[in-house]
Amino acid sequence: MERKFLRRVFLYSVGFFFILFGLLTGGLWHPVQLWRNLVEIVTVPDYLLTDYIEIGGISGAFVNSGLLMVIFTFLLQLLKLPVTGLSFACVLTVGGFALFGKNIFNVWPILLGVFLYSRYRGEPFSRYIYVSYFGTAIAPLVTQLAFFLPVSGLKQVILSYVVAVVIGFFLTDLAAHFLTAHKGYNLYNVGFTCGMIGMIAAAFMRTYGYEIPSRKVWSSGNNLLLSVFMFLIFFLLTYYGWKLNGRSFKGYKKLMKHSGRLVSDFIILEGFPITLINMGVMGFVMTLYVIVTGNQLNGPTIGGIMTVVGFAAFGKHPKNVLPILIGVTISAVTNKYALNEPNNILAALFGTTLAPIAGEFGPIWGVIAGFVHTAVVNNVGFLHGGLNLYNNGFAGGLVAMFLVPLIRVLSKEGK
Amino acid sequence: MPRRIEILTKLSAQLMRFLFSRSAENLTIDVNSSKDQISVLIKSTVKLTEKDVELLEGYLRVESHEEMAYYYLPLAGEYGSDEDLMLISMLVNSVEINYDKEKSSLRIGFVIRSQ
Repeated sequence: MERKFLRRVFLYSVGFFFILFGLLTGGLWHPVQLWRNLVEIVTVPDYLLTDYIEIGGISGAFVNSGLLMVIFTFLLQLLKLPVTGLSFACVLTVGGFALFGKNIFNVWPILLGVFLYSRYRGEPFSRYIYVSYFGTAIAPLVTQLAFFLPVSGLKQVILSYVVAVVIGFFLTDLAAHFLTAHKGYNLYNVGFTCGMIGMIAAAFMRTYGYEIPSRKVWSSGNNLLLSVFMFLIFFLLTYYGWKLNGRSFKGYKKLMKHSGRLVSDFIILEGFPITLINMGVMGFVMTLYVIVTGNQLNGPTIGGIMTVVGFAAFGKHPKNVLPILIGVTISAVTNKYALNEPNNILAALFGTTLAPIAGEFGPIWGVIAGFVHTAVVNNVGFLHGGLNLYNNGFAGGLVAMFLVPLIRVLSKEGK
Repeated sequence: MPRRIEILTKLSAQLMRFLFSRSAENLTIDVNSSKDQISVLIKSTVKLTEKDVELLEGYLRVESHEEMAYYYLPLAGEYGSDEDLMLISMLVNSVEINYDKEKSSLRIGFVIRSQ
């Protein structure tokens, strides 16, 4: 009972830490400016790539992210759901993407759509809550539709909300169906589903003459402050994990034996303390990777790091993530983009969605998966016009669908 | 297909996969279905190490999380990794495992109640 309470405290604390950081970096001393920044975040088009740190400052971006994490954690509590690895994965993913695309305005119609679906099925909403959380990846469609629809003012807002509610309604069945397409080797499954939805939506928009402009809002110059904050969080996660684990790292080797393929909930399988350690370690590894490769810590990259940390409770660990990172890095130093360009660093952080391939088929296949992923992810963004925030989840699904059958043919199992 | 039959078939199939991949010699499944519940008894002659038994218990006596299991259930059985057992077990109401090491005899009983 005590451990279950502790899990919830930790889940809440990440959100509260983000809010506190947002307040201490300006919001507390300039509340009016913070409000303006939040309004700015909510009103700008937020399809890929829109770095909220550039739009609303560090303060606005972190308060927006922290608020969403706290609200989403509270909803899980309200529905009496236990805190497991999946809870950490979805809340931290929402929080991470709330630094570059999700905000306190655009996530609700998806949740409402899934809620109506649960009513339609006569089943509790709690059964579908996770799909709705991950499904907020399609949130930019809400604001983009507002620009596309041939109405204006309040009608524009309401109509775009209605379309998003309809998408939310069908999301659950689509997500369940697409799970079997990549066989669970792509951890960001709803990203794959939302990529499909975004692709269809973008196709309609273009067919009817609306061009989705490309966008790259990317902040820089905050590495010192943001790295201190990130390292502090990961130190605390590792320290408390170590402390709760009887001041040891016992069991970490066992955790790394899991392939990470869906469903590998480390909190259920290996316990909470060792999972906390894994989350902290993965946070350190990914933050260091960003800094060492000369990249910027900003909304999208911290979003990527937070997603990895969340999924470190639900499938990712150093043994299955490092081969992917190596594969992406080999591609990054040989392809036409510089190692420190957004294309490559985002492929590295989010490409870890393919970690189960390395976990199940070995590090060599993991390196190949990372290498292939970098090429694919740089070419699929156009298909959905940035309307799906989990672009790497979409690309990862395609890579898994392509690679896994080939690997199985060539591996012992296929013979 | 009613959900409880899906759970029954998927869990039985995954247990067969688990046991036959560990050199099971034989296996029988006894299923009793009533309006309220389905009870299943699986008997097998199989040589399991202590680690195997521990693993099996870890997967079958898992903390219940019905919401997670419902979402990912379509995956269970797709290429079948051992973790699938954990996923399906989240939807099972009670599990009993008995292993007699000397006779290499395993008995697993589980009950799935109607929702």
